[in-house]
Amino acid sequence: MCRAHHVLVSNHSAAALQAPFAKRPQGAIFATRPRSAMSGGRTRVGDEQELIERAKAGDQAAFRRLFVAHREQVLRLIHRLLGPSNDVEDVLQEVFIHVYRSLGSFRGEARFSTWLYRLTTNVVRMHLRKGKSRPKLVPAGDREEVMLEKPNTETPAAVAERTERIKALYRLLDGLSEKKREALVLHDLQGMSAAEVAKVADVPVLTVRTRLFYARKELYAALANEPALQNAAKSLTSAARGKRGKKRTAAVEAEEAGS
Amino acid sequence: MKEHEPKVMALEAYRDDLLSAAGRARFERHLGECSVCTEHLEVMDQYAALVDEAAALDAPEINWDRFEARLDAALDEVDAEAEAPAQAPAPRETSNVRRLFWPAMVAAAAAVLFVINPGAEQGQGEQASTEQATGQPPTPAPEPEKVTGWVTLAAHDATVQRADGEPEGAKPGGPIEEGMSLRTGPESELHVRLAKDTGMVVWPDSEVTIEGLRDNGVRLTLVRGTVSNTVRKLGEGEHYEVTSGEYTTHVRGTRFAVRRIEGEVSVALFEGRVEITRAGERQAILEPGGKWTARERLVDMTDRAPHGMTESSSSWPTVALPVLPEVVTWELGDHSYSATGGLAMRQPPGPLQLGFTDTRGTRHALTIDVGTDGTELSEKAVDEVLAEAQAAREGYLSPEQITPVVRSGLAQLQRCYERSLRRDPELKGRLKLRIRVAPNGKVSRAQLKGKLPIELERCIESQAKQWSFPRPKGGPVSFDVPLNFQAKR
Repeated sequence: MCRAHHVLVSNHSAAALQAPFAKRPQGAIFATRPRSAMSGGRTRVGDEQELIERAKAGDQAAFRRLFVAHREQVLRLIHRLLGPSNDVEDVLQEVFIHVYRSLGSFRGEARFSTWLYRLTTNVVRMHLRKGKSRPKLVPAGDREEVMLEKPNTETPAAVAERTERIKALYRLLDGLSEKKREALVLHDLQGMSAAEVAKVADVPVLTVRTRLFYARKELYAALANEPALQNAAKSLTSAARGKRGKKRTAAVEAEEAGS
Repeated sequence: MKEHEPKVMALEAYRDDLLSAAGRARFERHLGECSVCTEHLEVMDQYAALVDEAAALDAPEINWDRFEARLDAALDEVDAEAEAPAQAPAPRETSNVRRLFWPAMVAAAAAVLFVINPGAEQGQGEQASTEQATGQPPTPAPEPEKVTGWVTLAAHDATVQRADGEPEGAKPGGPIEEGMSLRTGPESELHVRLAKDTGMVVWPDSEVTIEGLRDNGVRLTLVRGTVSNTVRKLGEGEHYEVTSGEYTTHVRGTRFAVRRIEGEVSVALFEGRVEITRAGERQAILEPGGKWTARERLVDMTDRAPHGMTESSSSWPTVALPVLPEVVTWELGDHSYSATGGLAMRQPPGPLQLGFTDTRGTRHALTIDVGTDGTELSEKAVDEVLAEAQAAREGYLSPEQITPVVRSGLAQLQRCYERSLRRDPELKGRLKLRIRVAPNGKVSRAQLKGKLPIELERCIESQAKQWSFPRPKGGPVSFDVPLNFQAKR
């Protein structure tokens, strides 16, 4: 029986909530950049296709526009996949070098953003394998990281504690297999739906769900063996008590519940 | 008490509200007896909280200009690798190099020669400067004496390099002599006094070589980037030249700028008169306010005068503005400088007004008392200004403080929506709920921005007013909660 769910969806991502307080200076280049296809610019898919074709033919301006349109999303994805790391910029560069080299092989069978995400996850996987960027945690008190991420009045101690918790979470993630780790990060942290993860990983949705299930099961067990991290997490859960926390945005949950 | 291996799938279904009412009731009865299950649920909550926190963390900010320059260099290597097995190396500009972007990395063959002779009449001037352009000085003169200029302002990591030496960080008061190369990075800048009332601003991402610095004139080579020049009225036989490749520009004015972006040379004139030639043929004559470019696209250039051009600036004390965590840009006069590196300049003793922008983008004013021995701005002085401003501005709540309250309040809003659905089963909509949190943490205002039935709006607003946040730091806080009401099957 199909039951109708009336759902209130809130897009109150942290970024949206933060926007009123964290005004970041932006250069003129941002004001004129084309809207990203991934951020809802569906009507621009044709434009993007044209840009891709032009970039393939060696049009430098077109390549640059693709770069500008997608760099923020790629940056966020790398940041999620790597966790707190000083290597984000290096990997970002590596990704766009790969894009530059392999754009000719993009045949338009998938959306460009999906292709780019797949390429990014591959580059990050290679990077992690090389052992270059096992979540190296920025030493406590690293001024730049604290400043850039929280340009606000949050105390350095609170920032350091949060950084430690996030590092610890990534240590647990590192205990998973590559495939499970990627599925979990893309789904639980990056907020992608299982269907989107499936496209990026190029596997059936059911496989993604299976990976997610076992990844979480392993993580729960690992977390249960980390009393210090559990205690740290308790302080977070007490703030959210009253509602069994959703793992991702309500929108994604609702979509999956509906499906 | 029942003890068993927790059934993760069942616990997840319960946790995600996927059980039927009866199933949920049964499960909750079981939970009452199963400590393993409740412990496991707690671990799941903890995991969810950790994930929420990690997902809320912003990616590090990237200095895109610098990144692009770096990427461009890396792509050059890719091109070079790709071209290596092919024929003998071709000149960069003629190969199929996808030189992508950025002014910082562009060094095309185009070139500029500026000869300034504002003291001459126009006709004589043209002749004289053309002669200079061909390398023939108008009048033979005894070997002119070398002179020394000095740095009046150095921002960030600008460097100075002697022909036979290593690059050194530029410092105010540091000597500038013939044969030196001056380089600036994406955020650095250098102001130099070359001669009486004569000097230049080397803009970010630029390189200038001092080919000649003598008592009869100045010869510069602009390798890349932008240089703004201020030149006093020159006497007979004196010259001021900025040289690069195929273009020759004869400047009879005293304030001009030249820029090279992606191989395109542009000239802007702010005072005086300029003639631009290429291989001896006139391309253009510019009047004040005029601009010229070798190609179609005109580039806006602002008129900039170097700092501290007066004779006495050599004896002025140095004011140093260190890197401070709260400061994003420094503002001196009508120009702002990135504060990610130090800024130091020669400054006459006395009060110095400057501005700075903090990490929230707010601008502040500050006065420094410059002593005769120089001054370094203290972090404390900036903190005091910020504390004062803090008292007068909006407060702050972190996303971590807001998110849990909003999330737990969504259930109440959901009930409002469900009540309205009884009247209109197709009801849906997107809107923003603007919340203002008073200093005591209570919601002082909840207002919907969007179209919904009035009874639903009232219900939502009244529910949201009951939310209670932690006390914001520093004053009241406003933010928007985006909502999307949709009936999903």
